[in-house]
Amino acid sequence: MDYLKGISEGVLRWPYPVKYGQVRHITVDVCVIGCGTAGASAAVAAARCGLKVAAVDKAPIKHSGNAGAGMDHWNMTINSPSNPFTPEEIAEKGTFMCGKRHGPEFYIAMKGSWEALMELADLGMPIYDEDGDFEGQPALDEATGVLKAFDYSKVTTVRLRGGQYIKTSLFDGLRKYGAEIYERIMMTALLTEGGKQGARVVGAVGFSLETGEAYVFHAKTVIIGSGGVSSAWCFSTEISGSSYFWDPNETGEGIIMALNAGAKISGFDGGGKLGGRNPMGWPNFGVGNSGNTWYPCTLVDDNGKKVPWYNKYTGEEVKDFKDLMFRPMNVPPKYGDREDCRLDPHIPEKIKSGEYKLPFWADLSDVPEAERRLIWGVMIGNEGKSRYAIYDYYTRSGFNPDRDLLWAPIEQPDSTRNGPGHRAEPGMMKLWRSEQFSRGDIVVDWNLESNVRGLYAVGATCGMEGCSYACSTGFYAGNRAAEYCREFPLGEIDEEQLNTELDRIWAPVRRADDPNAYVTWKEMWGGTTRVMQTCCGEWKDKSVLEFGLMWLKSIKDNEMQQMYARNPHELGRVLECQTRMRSSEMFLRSGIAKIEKDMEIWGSKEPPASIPRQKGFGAPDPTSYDFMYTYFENGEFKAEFKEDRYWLKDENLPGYLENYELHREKEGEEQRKWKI
Amino acid sequence: MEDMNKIKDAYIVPNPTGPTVAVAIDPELCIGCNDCANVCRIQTILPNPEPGKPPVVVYPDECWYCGTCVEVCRTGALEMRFPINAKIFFKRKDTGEIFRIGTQNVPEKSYFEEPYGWK
Repeated sequence: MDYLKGISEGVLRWPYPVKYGQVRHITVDVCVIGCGTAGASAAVAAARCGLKVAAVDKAPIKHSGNAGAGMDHWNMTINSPSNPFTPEEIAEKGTFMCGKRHGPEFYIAMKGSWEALMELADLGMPIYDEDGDFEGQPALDEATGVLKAFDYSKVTTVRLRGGQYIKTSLFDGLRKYGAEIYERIMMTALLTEGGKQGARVVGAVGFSLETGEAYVFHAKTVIIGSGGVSSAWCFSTEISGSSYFWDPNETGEGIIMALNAGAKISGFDGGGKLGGRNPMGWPNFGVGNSGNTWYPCTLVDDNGKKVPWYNKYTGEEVKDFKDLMFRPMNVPPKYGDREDCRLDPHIPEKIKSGEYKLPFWADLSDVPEAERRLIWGVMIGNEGKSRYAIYDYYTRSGFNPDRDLLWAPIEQPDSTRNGPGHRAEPGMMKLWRSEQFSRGDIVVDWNLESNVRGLYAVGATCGMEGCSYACSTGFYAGNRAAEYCREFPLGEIDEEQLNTELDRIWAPVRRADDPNAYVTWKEMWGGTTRVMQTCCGEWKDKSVLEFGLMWLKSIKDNEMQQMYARNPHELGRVLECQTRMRSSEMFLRSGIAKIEKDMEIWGSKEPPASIPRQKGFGAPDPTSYDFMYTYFENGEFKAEFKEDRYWLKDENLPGYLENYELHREKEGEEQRKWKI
Repeated sequence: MEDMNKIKDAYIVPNPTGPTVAVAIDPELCIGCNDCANVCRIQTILPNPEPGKPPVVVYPDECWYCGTCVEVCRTGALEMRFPINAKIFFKRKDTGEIFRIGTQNVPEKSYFEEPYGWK
């Protein structure tokens, strides 16, 4: 009986040799965990310094990570020759990027964005208008040959002409510079000197998702590029992976292994907000809308009435297309607010009054032909996951951008305030929460190194989400790690720490035939999300957060001990649930720590704090801190509170550029050959 | 009705996964090279334990629909089977007809250009 519709004739044998209980030891200088755009860039940078580098990923690296199936925009190219601003003045103004205005990584990401793009072009990613398709068009920057986005008066955001190949280009770079490739290896823990929390890193351990064999990397440095925590609030067995915004492999192992090793983590206190990406949505960029990738596509209502555009700065209606793509010279670029014009701000009221009839439709045929080709051909043709799921599939289904309108999802009128279809999610699903921009990130210094020596973080792992920031932080950290390796010898792995972790890794396999072990990874994922949905929303109350911790502990002591794995794939999913359990605890604990601190400052008369309470995030004075970091010291949970711009104080120099240059001083001849 | 009378068997089977086929593999075109299984980020596709036979789509419910398996297939044997929630509407501007992506009733394909940067 072929009960799985075409795949089974009964139970199939696992296609790889099974090697549970076997341990492979590998010695390198640098071990990069998670080789998406950020990690692969770091591995390329370290490898071309002549170091022995292990590039490790849960998935095949050629197409792994969030940008593994493409990318469309390259952000904050402030160092491009065709931009009048400097990264320093933008950093000084405290412009938000990735929801934060935070730390050295923010400046480093922006500072190296253009140079990182040039490196990617050298590695083979198509970024120039090679065939002259856009010759004479305002989108083409004559001086550099790249295609501009959002603002045609300067080059602050680039459209990637061949962003589909970002990862294949980086993969070629790994091969070119001789990095060792370890694919489908799921890393689960860092190893520290003497097995102590907070001591310097000496390696990492994980296992193969194909064979179940353990992999132990002895390394001088570890760079984590595996991203933040995802989907701690959302899981449904009936929605498919198509809906998830983040790569399903991005479950937060890197953050949690760093936390367990004693690294300070920020961003856990903001989880559970209603904003951000909703994983219950439609394929991103695959619905009619007018923002981001689709900016500035015309939107019409069901009667064909065009929705007018307004300039955000002047408030005036914009009639001429070219005025939609022009930002005044004195207004600096800003991540997340790259569009200069917005749609009619009264859409919700006009839907209710009947002036606009739902649904709205995106009308690509109404924009100039070159712009249509830029949106549909360059952007949708290369954006993450859109070449096959959207470009290819829709056009094969007869969709013709020259003559068809694409449907914008129907939402509750009030959800359309920032433009119908913008979030690509059903308006009725708002109670599902997400972690975007509050997914936990490793706190780093001017070397992109954590407080655990030898441990570096890049890309979303240090809070800098997006391919441009991923690459620029990756290249930078790879270089700093290489310099560290020249100074420090290899450390020794603590046997007890290693064996404890190996026991944890294989425990679910031991339970495969135990009739009392009946809990699947799906049931567990659904179970822990229920705790978060219940106890960790926008309004946070100490006793509720504590209730959530008690609930999680109960699950951990009971059902989590009854999870089983029948093959290495299931084993990966089970261990991801353990990661999710730990990150869920951190969201709750961090919320409690924040409330306790706020009560200390405000006195007990103040109501239990909700977020946001930090300075600069809408909180009234007096508030004495800007950032909260959480970590473990000798097994004890701690919270640390820091003031804004601490990275320009004390042991640091007072200016962004000065610090940046100081930390690149150790670069050798070899490194100076590269752009970044 | 007579054809229904011929069916005499039914089976006790587990529930199917959410989407039961994320990607369809044409056994006539497949050469069993496993390129698709080797690129799949999520192990949705695994090699067939019997070498040379088409890979098996084991975990369709975990598919992220990135399409890289289709990209790497050298014989064009793979086709994505997108889930219902991905199939949205479009409207022909001059006639007002409404179509749904991926269904039978779609207009004749009139547009396909290679996206920019195509290698």
